[in-house]
Amino acid sequence: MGLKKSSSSRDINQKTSSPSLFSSLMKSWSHSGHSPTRSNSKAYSSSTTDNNNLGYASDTSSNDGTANQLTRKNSSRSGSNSFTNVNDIYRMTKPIMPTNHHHSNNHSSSSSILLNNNNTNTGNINSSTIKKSHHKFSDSNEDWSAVVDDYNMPPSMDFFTDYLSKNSNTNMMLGPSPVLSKKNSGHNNNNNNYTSGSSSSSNNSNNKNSGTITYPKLTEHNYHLELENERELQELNSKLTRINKFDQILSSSSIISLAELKKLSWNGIPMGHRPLVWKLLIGYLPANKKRHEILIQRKRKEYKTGIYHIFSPQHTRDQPTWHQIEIDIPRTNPHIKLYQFPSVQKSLQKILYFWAIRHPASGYVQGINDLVTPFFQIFLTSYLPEHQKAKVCDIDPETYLTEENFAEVEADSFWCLSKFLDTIIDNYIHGQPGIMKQVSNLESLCKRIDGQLYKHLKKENVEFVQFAFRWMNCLLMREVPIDIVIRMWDTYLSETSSDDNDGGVDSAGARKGSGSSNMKMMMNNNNTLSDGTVTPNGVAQNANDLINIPTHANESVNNNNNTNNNSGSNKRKTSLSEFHVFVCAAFLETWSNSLLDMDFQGIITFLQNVPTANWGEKDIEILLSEAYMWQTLYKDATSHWL
Amino acid sequence: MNATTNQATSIKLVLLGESAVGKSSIVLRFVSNDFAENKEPTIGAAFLTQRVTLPDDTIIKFEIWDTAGQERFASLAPMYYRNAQAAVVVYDLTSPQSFLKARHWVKLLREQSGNNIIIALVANKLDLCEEQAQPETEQEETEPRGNVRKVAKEEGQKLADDEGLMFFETSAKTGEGINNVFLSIAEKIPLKKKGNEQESATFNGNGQSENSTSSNGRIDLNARNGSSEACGC
Repeated sequence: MGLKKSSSSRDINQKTSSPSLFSSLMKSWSHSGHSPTRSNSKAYSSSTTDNNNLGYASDTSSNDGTANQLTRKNSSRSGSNSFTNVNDIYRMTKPIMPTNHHHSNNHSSSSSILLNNNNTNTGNINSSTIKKSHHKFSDSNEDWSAVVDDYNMPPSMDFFTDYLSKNSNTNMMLGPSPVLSKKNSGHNNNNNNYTSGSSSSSNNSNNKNSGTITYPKLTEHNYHLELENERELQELNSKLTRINKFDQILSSSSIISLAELKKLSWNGIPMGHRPLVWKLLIGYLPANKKRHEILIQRKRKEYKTGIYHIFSPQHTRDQPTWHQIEIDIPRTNPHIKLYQFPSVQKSLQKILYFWAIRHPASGYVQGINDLVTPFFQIFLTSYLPEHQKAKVCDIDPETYLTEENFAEVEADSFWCLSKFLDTIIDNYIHGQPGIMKQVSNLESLCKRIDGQLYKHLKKENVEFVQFAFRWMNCLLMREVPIDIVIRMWDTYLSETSSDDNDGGVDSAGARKGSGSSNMKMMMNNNNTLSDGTVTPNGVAQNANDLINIPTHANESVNNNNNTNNNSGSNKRKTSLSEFHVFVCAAFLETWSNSLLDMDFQGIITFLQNVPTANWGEKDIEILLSEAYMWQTLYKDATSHWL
Repeated sequence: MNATTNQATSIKLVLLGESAVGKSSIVLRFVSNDFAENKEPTIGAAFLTQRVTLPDDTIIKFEIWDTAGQERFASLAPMYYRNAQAAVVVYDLTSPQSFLKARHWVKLLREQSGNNIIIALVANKLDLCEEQAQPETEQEETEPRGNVRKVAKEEGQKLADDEGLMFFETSAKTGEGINNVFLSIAEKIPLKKKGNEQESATFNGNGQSENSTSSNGRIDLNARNGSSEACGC
C-alpha cells in the first residue's frame, strides 16, 4: 500500500487525464485536417445506447456515492473536472476552428450526448412535458440571449448541465437551440460543441446523408483520441447523473435525507447545488424543508441585529482585534480579484469582527480570514445567473447584489463559519492545542504510513510543526488553489456532518441544545449578546484576562467529541480535525519521492511552496480517497487521538 | 558558481516583530529582490535562505526563519529563536504599538539568549515617511500622506544604544537599507574576521529549490540606495 503504489496511480492519472479532449483533437487536425471519423460517432452511440432511461450513461459504481467508499480511489477519475475541460475546449474553439460545417469534430462529447439523449428519450416525451419545456425555454430565453450578446463570455458548462437537469429527462435541448442557431449563423457554426439537440440531429442527418464523405482510417492516434473522447463523455454523463441525483434528494420529500446527501456530497457537489447543500451539511439549515425559510430569516435577522449592535455607539470597539482584521483583510487571497473589491472587504471585515468578539476564547486568529472565504464565495454564487457562477471570483458583487443580498450572504457566511469553527475551536485558543495535537498525530501517522520518509525527515532534523502548522491552521487552504479547497470542503463537510437526520435540524434554530454542544457555546454567546452585556473593551484584549473562557471552549469541544463518539456506533463519525490529519498525511505522502532526495532546506522550502498550482479536482479527489483509506485502516490505532 | 563549491558559513537568523510590520517583505526583498503590496499573513513561520559572498570570498549562507507576527502564534517563536545566531527585530515606524512590541522582543531575546545573539533593530516602511521622500528615493506614486512617521529615529536609536543592538531604518518596498541589515549582521558574526568593505559585496544566487516562490535572481546591488544608516530623516 504505501508510497509506491499511490504515487504511481497518480502518475497514471496525470498521464491519462492531462491533455484536454479538444487540444488533442486540434493536434490531430493540424495533421490531417479532417472531419470526424465514423467510428468516432459510433463509439459515442454505443457508449450511450445502453443507458438507463434517464438517457445518461450510468457510471453508477462510482457516482451513486453509495458504493463502498474504498472504491473511490479508483473511481475518482470520473470526477467533475470534465466540465471545465469542455469549457476550455469551447474557448479554444472559437478563434481557431475551421469553418467546416457539419464535419467539425466539435460535435465531440457534449453534442453527442445531447443527441443520444434526444434519441433515446423521444419515446418518453409526452405533450405535457413538451409544454413544460417550452415554458422553460421562454423563461430562459433572456439568459441565453445575454450569452449570445456577450460573445466573449461563453456559458459555463454548468449552465447547460443545470439547465438540462432542471428539465430532467425530457427534450431538454429545446431551450438552447434558437440561440445557438443565431450563434451559428454569426460565427460560422464554430460552436457546435454546444449545439442543441435539434441542431446536432440535423448535423447528424447531414452526416448521414452525405454518404460520399470518406472517413479516414482509424489510426492509432485516432484510437487514443477516441478513448479520450469516450472518457470525457463518460465523465460528462456521470456529472449529469450526479446533478440529477442531487436534484432528486433535494426535491423528493419534505424532509431531506441528510445521510444520503452526505454520501453523495462526499464525491463532490455540483456548483449549482453547493450553496444549499453546504448549509444543510453544516447544520445551518434543517432537513425539514418547510422550516428553511423561517429559520434562515431568523438567523439573518439575528445577524443583522448583532451587527447593528456592535456598530452602534454603545459598543466600544475592541480596537486591537478590529485593527488586526483590518490589516489582514487586504492580505486575504491577495491573488484573487474578488477579495480586492472594497464591497467584499467590508463584508468580510464585519463577519470576522463579529465572530471574533463573540468568541473571546480564541478571538480573531490569522487563518480564520482564509476560512471564511469559501463560504462567502459559494454563497455569492447563488445570486449569480448560472452561466456566471464559475466566474464569481472576477465579478464585483456590488454589480449584482443589493444591500439586502449582501446582508444575506454575510449572515449565511457568518453562521456557517461559526458552525465550522466551533468544531475546531481549540485550534485557535491560547497555545493552539488543537493544532499541536494534530501535528503530533500527523507525525505518528507518517511514521506508520511511510517509515522511510519519516526517518528521512528526522535525519534532516525537520520538525513536523515547521511545515504542518500552517496546514492545520489554514486547513491546507494556503497549499492548494481555492477551487480545489472548495471541492475539498464538499468532502470535509459531508465527512464530518451528522448522519442523524435531525441532528442539525434544530441546532440552526438554537433550540435543541442536546444534540449539538456546539450550540451551547453559540447560545451562551447569544445570551451575552442579547443581554447586551458584551463588554468588548474587556474582551479579548489579552488572552490572559480570559483564563476561564478557554476552559469553557475546551469543554464545549470535548462535549462535542463525546457526542460524536457516543452516538450512531455503526455510522461514520469523524471530527474535522481527525479527518484533516489523514488528508495532510496523504498530502505529505504525495511528495514523498521528491522529499527523499532533499536536505533540510530543500524539504522545508518545498513544503512551503508545494507545486499544486495546476491541480485539478481529480488530484484532490485522489488525495481525499487516500485519506479515507488510511483512516479506515488506522482508525483503531488512532482512536486514542481524541 | 564558486559559491556552492566553497564552504559556506551558515548564519541562522530569525525575524521577530508585530504583525504586518513587514518582516516577510524584508526577507522577500533580501532573498528575491521583490516586493508585494499585499502579502498573505505568515502562519507559523516561513523558512528562506540567501547566500552572500563577501569581498574576501567568504560565503555566508543566511538561513532565515521568518516568524508570524500575531500574538497567538508567539508560543511558537522560541523554537525559532532558540538556536539563532542573529535576530532581526522589526517595527513599523508608523506604528508606536509595533515599537512597543519590538521592545518586548528585545527584552525577551536578551533574557533567553543573553549576549550570544546578535540583534538588529529595524524600523521598516521608511517609504511612508515624507521627509525621506525628498532626498533620493524615486517613489512612483508619491502618496500625499503627510508625515506618517510615529516613531522618531532617535527613539529607535536610543533603544538600540541601551540594549546594544544594531539599528537600521529600511523600506522593503523601495529596497532601501535592506541588504545593509544583513551584511552588517554578517560582519558581526564572530566567526569571521575581515575588513568592512561590505559595500562591494557580491551576491550569488540563492540556494532555493526550484519550487520556491522566490526567483533564482541575484540581488541587484545597484538597487541599494546607499547607506541607510545615513537616512535622510
